[in-house]
Amino acid sequence: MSVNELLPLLPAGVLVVFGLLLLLYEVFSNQSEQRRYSAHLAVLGFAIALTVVAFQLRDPTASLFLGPGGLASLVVDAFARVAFILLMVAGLVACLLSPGYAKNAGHSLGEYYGLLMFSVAGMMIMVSAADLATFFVGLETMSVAVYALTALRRRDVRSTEAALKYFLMGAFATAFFLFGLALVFGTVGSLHLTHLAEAMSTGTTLLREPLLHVGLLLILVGFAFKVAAFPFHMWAPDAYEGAPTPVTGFMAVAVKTAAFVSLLRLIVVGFDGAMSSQTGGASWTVLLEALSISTILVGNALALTQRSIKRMLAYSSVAHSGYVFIGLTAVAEGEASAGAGILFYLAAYTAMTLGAFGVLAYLERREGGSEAERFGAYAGIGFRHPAASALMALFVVSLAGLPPTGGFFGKLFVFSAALRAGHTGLVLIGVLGSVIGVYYYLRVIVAFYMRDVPEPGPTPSATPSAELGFGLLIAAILVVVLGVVPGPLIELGRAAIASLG
Amino acid sequence: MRPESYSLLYLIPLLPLIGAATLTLVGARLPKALVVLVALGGSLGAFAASIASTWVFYRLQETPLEAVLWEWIAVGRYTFDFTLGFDALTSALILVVTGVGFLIHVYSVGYMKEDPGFFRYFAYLNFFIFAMSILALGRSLPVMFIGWEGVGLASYLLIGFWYSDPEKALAGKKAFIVNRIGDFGFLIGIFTLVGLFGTGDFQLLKEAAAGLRDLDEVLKIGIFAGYTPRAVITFACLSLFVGACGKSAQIPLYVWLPDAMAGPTPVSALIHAATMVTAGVYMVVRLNFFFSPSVAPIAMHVIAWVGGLTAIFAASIGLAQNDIKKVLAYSTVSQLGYMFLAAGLGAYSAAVFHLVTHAFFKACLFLGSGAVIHALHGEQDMRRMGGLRRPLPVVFWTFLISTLALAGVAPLAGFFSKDAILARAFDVSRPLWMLGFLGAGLTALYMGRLLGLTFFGSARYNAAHGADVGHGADAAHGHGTAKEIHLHKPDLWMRTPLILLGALAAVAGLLNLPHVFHLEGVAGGHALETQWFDHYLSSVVGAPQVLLDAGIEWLLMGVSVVWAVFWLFAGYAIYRRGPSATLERATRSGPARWAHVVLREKWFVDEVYEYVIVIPVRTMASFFALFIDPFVIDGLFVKGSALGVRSSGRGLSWLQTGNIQSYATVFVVAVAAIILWAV
Amino acid sequence: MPLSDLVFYLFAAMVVVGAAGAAISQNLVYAAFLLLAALFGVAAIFAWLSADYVAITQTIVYVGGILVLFLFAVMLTNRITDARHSNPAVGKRPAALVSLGLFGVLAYVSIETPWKHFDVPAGGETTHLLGQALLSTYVLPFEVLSVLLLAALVGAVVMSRKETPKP
Repeated sequence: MSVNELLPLLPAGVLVVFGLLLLLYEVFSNQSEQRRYSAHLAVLGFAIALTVVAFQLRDPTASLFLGPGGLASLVVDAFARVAFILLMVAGLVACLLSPGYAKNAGHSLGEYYGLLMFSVAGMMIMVSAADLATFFVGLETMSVAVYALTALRRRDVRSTEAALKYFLMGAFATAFFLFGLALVFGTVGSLHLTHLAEAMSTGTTLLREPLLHVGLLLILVGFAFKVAAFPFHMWAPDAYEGAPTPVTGFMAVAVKTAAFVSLLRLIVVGFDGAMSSQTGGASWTVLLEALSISTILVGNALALTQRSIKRMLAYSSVAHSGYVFIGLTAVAEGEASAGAGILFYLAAYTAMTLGAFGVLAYLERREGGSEAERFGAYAGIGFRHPAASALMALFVVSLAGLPPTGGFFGKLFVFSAALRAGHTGLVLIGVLGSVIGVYYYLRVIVAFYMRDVPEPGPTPSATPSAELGFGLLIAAILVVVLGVVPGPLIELGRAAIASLG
Repeated sequence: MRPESYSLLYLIPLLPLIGAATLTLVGARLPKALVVLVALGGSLGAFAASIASTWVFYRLQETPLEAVLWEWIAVGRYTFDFTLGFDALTSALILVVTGVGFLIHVYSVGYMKEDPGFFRYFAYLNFFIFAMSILALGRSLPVMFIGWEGVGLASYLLIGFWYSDPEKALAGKKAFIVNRIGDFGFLIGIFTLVGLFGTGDFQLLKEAAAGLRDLDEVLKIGIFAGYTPRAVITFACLSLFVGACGKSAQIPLYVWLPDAMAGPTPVSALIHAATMVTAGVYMVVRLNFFFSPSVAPIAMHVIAWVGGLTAIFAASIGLAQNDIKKVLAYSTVSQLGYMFLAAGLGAYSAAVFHLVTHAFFKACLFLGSGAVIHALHGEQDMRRMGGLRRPLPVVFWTFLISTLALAGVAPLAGFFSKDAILARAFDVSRPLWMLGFLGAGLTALYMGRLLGLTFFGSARYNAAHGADVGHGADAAHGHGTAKEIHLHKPDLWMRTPLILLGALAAVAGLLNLPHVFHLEGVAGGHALETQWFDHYLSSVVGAPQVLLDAGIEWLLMGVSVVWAVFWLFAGYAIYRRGPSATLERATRSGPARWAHVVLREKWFVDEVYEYVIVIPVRTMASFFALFIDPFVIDGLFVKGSALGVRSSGRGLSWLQTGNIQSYATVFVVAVAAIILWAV
Repeated sequence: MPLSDLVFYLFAAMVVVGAAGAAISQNLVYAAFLLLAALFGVAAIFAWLSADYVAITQTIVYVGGILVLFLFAVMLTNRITDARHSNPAVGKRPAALVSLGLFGVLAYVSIETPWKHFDVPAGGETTHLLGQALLSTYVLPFEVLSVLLLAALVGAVVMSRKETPKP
């Protein structure tokens, strides 16, 4: 294997190398003055890797690390590259949102950004893996790094608790996932998606081969855990609330994107359209349908009752997983356009969620204390921090799915694909959930702008960092551009889905 | 004709958009000179790009241009591309928009010099040029609608530019609400056409319209099964016309435009006279394959009559207004009525030609009035002007030229454009011609009055200045209290656009000489080129027709010139000495008093609306607010459903104990349940 | 019952009893030792399946490494041997119910499954083959694992090192 053949993996390589550089930088620079360049180094790494992907975007599909039977364990196709871009943009924006926050909380910056880059590298392995063993290694790389990121605010009890919960539940879910892998391996004799597809396309049914299907079910449970779908979502609010806010944003978008994108590959390639053709107990699509309906309803209902904005966003991100599951249901029915819709949705979701958490991070810093996370504590913020509040309004409007933002088109593409696949009821539930969503999202705007200021608010405690402003700006531009010019991205998404074959 | 791809079209909206974005983001920190540079650069760039596009269009033997920017929305079987198009009609409008827009940018530099919101003003103004060019270039109804809403937004922001004055903020709100009614109609129209033809693209719509074999055959399939295509198209046309009425200030939705004068005067010139308000006319002409006497005759009658009535009705109100900008505003409403009259009669190129000439002379009039207001430190009441002819010569002469043009005095621009409309009306419908003819007389009369009160007679501004009146004055310039005021003369920034627009108002008529001017041997042995503009537009609206015979045409022209000059002079003669005491006395009693009151109070339309619409709606609203809303809606629906959702949320939260063991338990139970269910 | 089956069931029982004991036992030290039995049983089953390399790794890493670490942690931590506080189990009955339920479901599934029968490999050395596979076919996961371990290491260091006061 020559070095040229490894070029498609170069972006992941760049991330790992920069992660190592950051660790070394942390060691060899003792003055905190120098450490502030950690963020810049990390951003540089992401920017280089993104540039590389951008140049490789039109390259043909690359199959790497051929195993027995000439099957690749890693397939870097257009689909994987689009996912690379999504993930790295998420990582880059998260890096930009972090510096002030991380400095304030006394984190060791080198490790912080290093872990972030390692986790993105793991995600990139996940989304391009063509066999489940490789996938699992990527999954664990991502997970371990994110566990550590969650735990970074060591002196904060809630952060530690959140990390512990996330870690324990994560290990628990991993055990189920592995058990599922074992069952699949036991029945198929391979973990490669191509072999899985062959096994599935022989007209296997639950009744004839329960073990294979139970294995796949357990794998699905592993995914459901990572994307916080009901009823495997329970860790999410605690972990999201306790983690440092920029990490929360990163967790909510990047981890979810990686999981959804690789699930998409699993469904399209691994199930080979066999999802709807199940007879016996219940079909896969019905299962996905049930997951999405319950996730939407539960996520929205719980988000409605929250008093803290951060927790509300956590539950609402559960609801957003439900909307993506609507798209997955349509994909399982063979509606390919839903795949492109999901990619678009994830892109919009990445921008708006990171933006919303970024604004929260900014306000926490400016207003001081975690007390500020309650709705009531934000009264009159709109007038004290006009720019940040205006951005928050934009992100929240997008999260609620109102035009002219990316969130609107995300929902539109996913829902219309589901309609084409004939899931009218599912779409109705989705719309109902969105309506509930509008209520609690608008509460943010009400709290920011329409409540009387109780007393002259505290004076800003720290100056905002330029990086944070820049990160928020990127997120805002993405939200608006996706809402005004959705065409190119959805085209890219279609090409990506087509590359799955 | 297949459109040629010409991707540089996107520069026309892009350059002002960049200007607007730059000014919004960093304008507050830029020095004034840089703000001017960015703002003028954006609008001049758009103008240059428009000229370049027109040139390319011309070089390609008038093949339409197009630029598909991106695929915009694809929902179900409908695909909407974000496509810009450029044909003869577009070129006419876009050159006016960007050209006049640029001149008004220049003028504003002088006019807004001292305003603290300088950069904000130019950000809005650049944004307006952007939105208006999207409106003009959009090749499909949805894209046009974006521009349509964009210009509405810009207009709203600029009317309420001095938002700290509640009256001005209210004017902005009124414009906003009235336009919502129009937009509702516009949207219904769009939906109807898209529903019928499955596309919003003008090119495809035109082909579809041409392909309709039998307009009166009842449709069997589709959403409109059971109706004839003619009925559906008529419905769509009427709905679209409701939108046009809102945007172009026609009866019954004109009421916002006079109030819109609360904005800075250059804005009134650009948005509320020259460009935005003509969007309705443009839209009707753009869709002339539906708005055509042979396809939707009923809709066309409605349009022509609404236009004709608006023309005379608004002119009559203009007679009795004392605020210089209000007179011009009503005049704009009236002139827009002429354009709709023309469009409703199928004289599309006459409508567009009047649109163009009107843009020149009305912009010039507004800018002139702005210069007067500027000079008098915010005074807008003509009763306190007078005698400005000498101190403001440039303003006076350009104003005079434009007034003559507006009144329809040969050979200025307005004469030719108005005459083309009246000639068509004379041919098709005598009652409509009568309306137009009377309206022309009223126009001349109120313009004579305006001219007399403002520029002639003795200077009245010194004595009266600082008194209690002065409503809706340009607040930025404030009211002085000194008896002797120092006239604030227009600087070069302001004078240049005035002169250029005045010149255009004088000569633009040459673009479209009536066919009777086709005289041999006048211009160096060749015939005069006549109806050039009609021919230019013919690729969009069809070939020009010659209907009247030359003798009648000459006669009509002669009559209307005499008619205009007579009333112009009458207005001037009565008012050149200021508000005359004789007239005051004459209007103090009897029917004359009533007539005066009715006109001064604008036929009480605002009051009628207040009693017929606003108060009943408000009463109903308070009824709902007091009874229905708290008990039925809030109590039953909102709180009830919220309670349902909330309590289910609470019910679910008992599971969310924060205890990791219980999470794991739920996890395992769920896995077991799923497997059991699946097996 | 052939002898080899007997061996299998013996070790399987050892795993089950060890794991159950580790979960139930109130005393952490006992639990750790019971876990040792379970892990060792797994290693034995690997060996029984002729997976020599995996069996040895299981013994060295889990039994020799991780478990010893556990025991050190348990013994070096103050008062953790105090039985009353060491490993309180909450909701034993529901837990038993849920676990048995899941077991029942999985057992049902495995009974229903028409198992495929593979011939047990004839034995012989697998280490060589595994090494080949890891450095050829599976070199990528192998390399990614190093990143994974590094991330875990960094995470552990970050969480456990003394906080330096900010200069």
